[in-house]
Amino acid sequence: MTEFYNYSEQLYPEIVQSVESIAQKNNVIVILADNLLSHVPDTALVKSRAIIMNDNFDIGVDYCYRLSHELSHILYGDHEAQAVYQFSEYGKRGEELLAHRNAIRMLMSIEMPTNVNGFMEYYHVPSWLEKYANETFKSFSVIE
Amino acid sequence: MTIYERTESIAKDRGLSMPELEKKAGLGEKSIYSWKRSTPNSDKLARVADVLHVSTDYLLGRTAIKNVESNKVPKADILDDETILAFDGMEIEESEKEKLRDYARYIISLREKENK
Repeated sequence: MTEFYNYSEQLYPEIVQSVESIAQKNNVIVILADNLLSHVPDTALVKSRAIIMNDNFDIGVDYCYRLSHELSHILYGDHEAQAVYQFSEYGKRGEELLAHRNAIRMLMSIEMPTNVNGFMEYYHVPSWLEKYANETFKSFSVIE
Repeated sequence: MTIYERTESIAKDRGLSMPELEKKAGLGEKSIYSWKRSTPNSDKLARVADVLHVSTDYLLGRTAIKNVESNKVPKADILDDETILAFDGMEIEESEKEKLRDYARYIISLREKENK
């Protein structure tokens, strides 16, 4: 792994904890489902403010990133558009893209990476999102 | 409004076309169109009312209240079939969808307890 965080192994549980506490503070229920098949995506139920994470989801994208993505649907989404969202690696339009961008922002604000490549690798973020990760990284770098 | 018009109007609110409604209610094609001319039997009416989450009385025009249990979250809101089908063009088996619905029902029951 490239140098993203100095103590990445210790840090990971703390990042998960931070994302989960954002959910908790915003009264979002997170359920970890262990009985779903590996192709069933994570699901966000906007009206009930709840997320069903598929523990067996075989997509290669990190859990923490997926959770941030679903959380973004509930916290920052356009709720008129749809009531149920499911994680899509390729959702490049509208609400999916918005949730991807907000997930990147959420994770970078929890722990600022040393560089974008490291960030992409650490969370196994789909590579087409790199330009958005770059944008966010730059905007945070200017502030800090 | 006639039975047909009320059915058509509420189906529209639910985002259902008439063929979709007929399919969900297990009725034959164009069978609801026949309601323009004749009154449906109670079994068919009840099946359509169930899909639309309204009472049969509402469809008959005997009450303006759509559903006697209007406080309940309609099933369509738990997990909308149309939405859940559209995942990267990949179908999810009915058995998996049912598991997701179970989780959704559980979540809704938690929320209902909170509101008490």
